[in-house]
Amino acid sequence: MSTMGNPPESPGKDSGTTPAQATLKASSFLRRFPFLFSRHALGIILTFNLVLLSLGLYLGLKSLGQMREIVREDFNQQQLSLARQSARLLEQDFDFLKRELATLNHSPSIQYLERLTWANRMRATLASVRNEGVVEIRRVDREGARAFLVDDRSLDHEIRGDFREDPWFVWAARPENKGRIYVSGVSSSLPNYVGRLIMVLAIPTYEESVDEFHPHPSGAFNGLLAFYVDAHHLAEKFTRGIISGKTGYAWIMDNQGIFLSHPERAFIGKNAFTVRKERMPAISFDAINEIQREKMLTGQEGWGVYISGWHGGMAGEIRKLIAYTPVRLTEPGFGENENKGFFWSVAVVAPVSEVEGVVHTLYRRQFLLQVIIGFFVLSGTILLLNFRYEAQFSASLEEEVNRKREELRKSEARYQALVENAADLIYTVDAEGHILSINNFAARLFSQTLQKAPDRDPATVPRTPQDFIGRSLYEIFSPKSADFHLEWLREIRETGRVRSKRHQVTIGDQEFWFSTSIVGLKDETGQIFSYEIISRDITGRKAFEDRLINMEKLASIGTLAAGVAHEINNPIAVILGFTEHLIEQTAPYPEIQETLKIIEEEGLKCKKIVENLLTFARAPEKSETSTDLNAVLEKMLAVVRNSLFTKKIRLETDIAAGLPRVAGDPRELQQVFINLINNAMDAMKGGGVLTVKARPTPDGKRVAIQFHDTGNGIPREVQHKIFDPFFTTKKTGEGTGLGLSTCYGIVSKYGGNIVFTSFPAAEYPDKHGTTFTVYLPVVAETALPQEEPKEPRLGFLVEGFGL
Amino acid sequence: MTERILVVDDEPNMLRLLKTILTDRTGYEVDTTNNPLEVSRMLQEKAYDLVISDLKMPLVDGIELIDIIRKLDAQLPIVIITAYGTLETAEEAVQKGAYDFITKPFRKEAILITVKRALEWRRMQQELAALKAPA
Repeated sequence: MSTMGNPPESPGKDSGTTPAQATLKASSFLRRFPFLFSRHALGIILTFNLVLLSLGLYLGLKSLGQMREIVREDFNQQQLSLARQSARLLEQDFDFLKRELATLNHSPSIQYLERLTWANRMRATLASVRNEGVVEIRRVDREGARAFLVDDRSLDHEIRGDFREDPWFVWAARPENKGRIYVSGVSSSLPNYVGRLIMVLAIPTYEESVDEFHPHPSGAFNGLLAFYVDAHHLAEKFTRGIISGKTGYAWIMDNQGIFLSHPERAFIGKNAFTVRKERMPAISFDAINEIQREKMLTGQEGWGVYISGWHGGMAGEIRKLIAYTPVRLTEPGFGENENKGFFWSVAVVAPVSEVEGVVHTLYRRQFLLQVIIGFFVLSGTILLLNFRYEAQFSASLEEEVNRKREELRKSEARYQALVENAADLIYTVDAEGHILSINNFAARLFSQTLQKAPDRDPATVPRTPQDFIGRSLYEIFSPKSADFHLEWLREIRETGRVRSKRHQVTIGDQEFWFSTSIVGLKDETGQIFSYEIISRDITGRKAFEDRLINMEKLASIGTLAAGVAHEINNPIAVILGFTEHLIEQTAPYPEIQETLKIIEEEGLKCKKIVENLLTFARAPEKSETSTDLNAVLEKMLAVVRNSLFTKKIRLETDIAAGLPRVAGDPRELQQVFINLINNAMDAMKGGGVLTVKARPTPDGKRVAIQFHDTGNGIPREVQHKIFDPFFTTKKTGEGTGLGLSTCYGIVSKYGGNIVFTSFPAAEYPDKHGTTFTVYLPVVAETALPQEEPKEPRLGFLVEGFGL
Repeated sequence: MTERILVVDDEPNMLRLLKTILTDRTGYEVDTTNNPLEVSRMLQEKAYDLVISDLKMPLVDGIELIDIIRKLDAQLPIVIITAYGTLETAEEAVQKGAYDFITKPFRKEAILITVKRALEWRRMQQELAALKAPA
């Protein structure tokens, strides 16, 4: 405490006026109030000061309370957006798992439990869902007596048991649940997984897909397919990286109040209500228990304050701020209220002290100053001082508030980082589809794709997230894709429904598959002020899935075709045999002979089809032969050169000399190449250029042979069917539709594959054409001669055709 | 002497076709059966110079039939009829001791030539055996 020995007239050390002036002013001013020189003056002024001081203290306390409220609210808003972020990402993962389960359930090898393939099919899916915590894929048969499963070490087992009592089996057996997905609660007492938090996603399996043994699926119930998911693994994935404030953290509990993830390891798997009581019986956990019971377990969102017994390494009574939001795992059923369904809840918590500490110190200092000042205020001059000081104080207060703001900004920056570093596209838009904020990943993807677009000048394409702010979705997506997004925003506005979709989008001239969820962000009044869009780029997965489905389809069509061909072969043999016999017998009757010859001719056509089919469907042979590609290609090109010439097609070849030998029968491979060249010729009716290239792949394990034409391309809508037997784009009678399926059969028999890209003329008038690439495995481990690629050699050049 | 041929196939129409081809202006005597289980009984009741059999039949397939016939008569030539595309199995049949194979659908000419060669081979075998036998 300072002394009170300051003479009343003494001016402030740092008043705005000079000391001499101030003294003059003050003394002349004081002389007008003789009262000030009376002997009661000091007492009265002191009392008056004390009153003022307590008033100041009271106001200070009040403003401290308000300040605290503001800071808390601010902080909790931040915590809530962090919780929402994790909830959305978690829901994304869930949707992903459900889709994977449904996809796997379509596979014939799973539906009919085909002995040779079911385990491999499961392994393919397991590899892609392992990261989401799946520890087992299990297929239970119709009677609930046997289970076929692949465990997390990718080993397959077949076990016998009684699975009829499993709640998911009971559920799946009910016909009304066909096509729906069951989500079980978390349990730590499943056989083989005792002590681990496992939840089960299950889908009823019906026999609906077609394969060689089941050309007419019965549609009957045939058991179920289930994922066993380690809920702790899944939950922790998203909460591990969350730090709120300095030491705050996140936890997740399920709909029974069980902790699925918590920084306190001992809590995981325990019931939140009982574990707290056990650990700290002396503390009243009423506040948090009420928040949990009334709000979190009923799927609500909000924030509050509660008393906890620990935080990180500290123990004792600690007040904490909490923000929580639900994770919706199942959609409410038809006609049920919005809050029905199945929830987990994400909470983000941080100690109050951490948030309010700054405000407290600031105010303590201010009180101290006020008290000191109070004792200073003994005279009018001190009013001046006080005035000066107030100005100074408000300046320092302003500075403190700025500092506080800076801290909040930093914690905001931390949340930003979470969004920024996500490998998903996260951006917010207003109702008209203008971008308000966007993360790096999205900006990069949009920018890189748009720069490649032919109709864009790369210089005008936005690059940084900052450049994208204010742009419309129509500047990024094709009109159709942008409409799709805006239509969706409208749906959210009108119905409030939030669900994720899997959809195609076009950016520039590229097509993507996104898995997207959109959430409307509401202000205090409940009005939506912007929409948060989270998209995951699943283009690669989608292509992989389609290929897998296609391979299975082709394999089953192949066996089906072989069966059919064998069956038809006998009757045709009899028909042709008798016809031939009759032709001999009826030499004296030319009209009858003519008719018989027609029958024979048509029969021979059937025979040809059957032979082609059998080539397509032939089982792999026991002995692998190898082929000298250079010789085969040379021989084959010599054969087709003439017909190319007459069709005004220029041939360009770029075939590396001394290609390594590849697996395959020379005659069959020649058949493959001739089929591909025939298709190329048919695509270039008015002439064009056919380019044939062959060279080893960079890893030296395969040789790629490429056939590129400048023809009219393959229409987009039939691209997925071109390898199907009997699919043809030619007129009836011109093509059998077996060319490409035969190619596929031969190449895959030798462990190779065929891929193609095509630009249909209707869409790409200036770069139309198709490229087929055949990859064949190299046989014998010989070192490849390092060839310099030769200059493309023109086979010949046709002049005067105006090509 | 007329040469006797036994034809085995599970399809009655195929049997009729083969019988028609083989008896038309050839002078062969042809018996047919659509039950491969009867073959061994028929071979024991009558002497045949050639057996023609389908490869794919229910109950007993062509390969098993070769074994059965070999046990009864190691010298009897057998011609196997097989569908196009199952050549590997046809080659297996030849390794097992079949004389030759024909792929369905076949031309009349092809059948007749193969049968003729098989019967000639049979005749030579018998002449050799007669020469070796103690007079």
